[in-house]
Amino acid sequence: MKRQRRTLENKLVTIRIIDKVGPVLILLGLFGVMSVLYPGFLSVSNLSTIGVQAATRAILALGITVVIISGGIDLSVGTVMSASMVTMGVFTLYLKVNMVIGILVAISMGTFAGIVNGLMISHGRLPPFIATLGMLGIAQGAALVMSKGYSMYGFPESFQFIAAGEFAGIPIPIFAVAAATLLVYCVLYETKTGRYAFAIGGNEEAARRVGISTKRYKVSFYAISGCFAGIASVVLSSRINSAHPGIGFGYELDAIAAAVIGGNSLRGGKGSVPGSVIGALIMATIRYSLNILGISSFWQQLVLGIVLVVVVYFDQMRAMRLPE
Amino acid sequence: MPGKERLGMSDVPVVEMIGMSKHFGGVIALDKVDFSVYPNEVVAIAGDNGAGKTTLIKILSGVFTPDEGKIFFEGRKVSIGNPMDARNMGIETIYQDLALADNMDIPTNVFLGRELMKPLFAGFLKFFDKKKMILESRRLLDSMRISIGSFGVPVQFLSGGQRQIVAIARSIYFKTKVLIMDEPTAALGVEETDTVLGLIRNLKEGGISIVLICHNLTHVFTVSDRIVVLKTGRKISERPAEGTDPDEIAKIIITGRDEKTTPNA
Repeated sequence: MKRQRRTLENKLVTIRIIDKVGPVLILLGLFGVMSVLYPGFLSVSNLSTIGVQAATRAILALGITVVIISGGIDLSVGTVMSASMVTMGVFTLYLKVNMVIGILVAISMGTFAGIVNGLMISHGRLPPFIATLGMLGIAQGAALVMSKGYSMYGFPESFQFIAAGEFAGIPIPIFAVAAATLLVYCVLYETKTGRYAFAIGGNEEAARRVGISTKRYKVSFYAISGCFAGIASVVLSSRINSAHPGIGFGYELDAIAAAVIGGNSLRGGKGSVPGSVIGALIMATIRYSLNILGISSFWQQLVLGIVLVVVVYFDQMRAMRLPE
Repeated sequence: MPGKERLGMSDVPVVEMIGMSKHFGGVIALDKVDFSVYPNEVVAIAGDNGAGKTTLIKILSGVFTPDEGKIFFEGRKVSIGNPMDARNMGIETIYQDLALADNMDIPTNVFLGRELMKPLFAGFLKFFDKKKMILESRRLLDSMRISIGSFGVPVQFLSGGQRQIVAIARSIYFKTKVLIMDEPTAALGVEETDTVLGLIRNLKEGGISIVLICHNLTHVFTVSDRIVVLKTGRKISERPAEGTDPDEIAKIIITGRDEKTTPNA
């Protein structure tokens, strides 16, 4: 009996280590393969570019992490990001609002979309997949309507500092990701919202029976995800120095893949915050590698689709390794 | 009221339910049932499937509201509108499926929904008092004379009996007066059943009244002071455990008649 528990605990520890180290090994493996295929891949400027490109995905993935831990899914983060940056464009370029307020508007827009997602799921009893798929369409449509389908240019020069600026030789987006990581980590492990995300993802009925207002907390989880889509939109918009209504579509797949590679199970109740960031780095490295190897964007779509499927397959396998 | 005749028992029931009726569409789940629980008492509710046992305890735990009837708690008339009302009064329920968050460890489960917080920055911010929650969980399990080594492991990896004990620990931490247990021994092995039955007796000695639903009449007689038998929504028998035996109760459950008592008259 005692011996059995020993081995069980050992097995659990082993699985935890694999979960933690696995994503890092994948990333190092990618770097290794690429430095063979493309000598000079590991230059500071390349890595810095990957870091900046990963920043948007990492911020999206961090927001989605909270939702995935609670057993939900958010397919809308990509187009919500588009809608948020277009809203920022409308406010700052057409309505001539101060850029700082424009940034807050973008973040509010994302949060608002997240709250609507949460209300549809908790109070409207829609499955998260359908509710956020609907929001994917709604946000895409809203972005196109507001921008009339055009890219919006003319943000003040200082706005570019968010993506292009450096502090102590480190790009600002890296700091943004670090701050977002710390924030999500604190929310998940130090607040009721985070603890209840794990509880609801583990056993929603149990959470409800101990008196947790599962509806209210679900709204918060999706609000966090939406809020992070808003923050990501600011970083991305600064990088492309414009607001583009079509740019976000597809980012949701990267963000979900990043979160799952990082060790967040789509069945809920289990998660890793640093894992999501590593996952985002993996996704950005794959994309960047395909680019510099000259592989067409059509093939890239195909490859990234396969990556997502394979990642979720391994997530399912991971669940079967655990004893009942 | 048979309970009142028991020696040393307080006159005021902790819980007194009078004329409980509940319909689900055309189905009468409960028909004018009186039910009371006295301090330091273990009451078993026996009966076949569909007798109304679950409906009765779900009314007491706030999951259902009765169509008719009054509930008194410690002599005061109360209405229990939802599970939170029940818990705030000190009525806790452990369902058969235990309702644990399987992916989380013991202290997290014990305090789930009612985490202990410590103030920081003169009370402007509150953080989880993780250390205290771990210590209190340990103290709680020690007080039940139970030792579970694997404190940091998700409870899904504990045995059925250990999980039951975690559920009990969670239910008794917050000044519980009445503990409702639905089939606590159904999924357990022989040794673990003994542990849980022993625990029920300890809880009773510790001043908690227990309402027990249990199909196994041997287990019922090991711990109960009083046995109430329901059949198709009516109370057909109510007896102190002393002076009767499992065979007699089984006969009452099957025949639906108890010659010795005429309840609800």
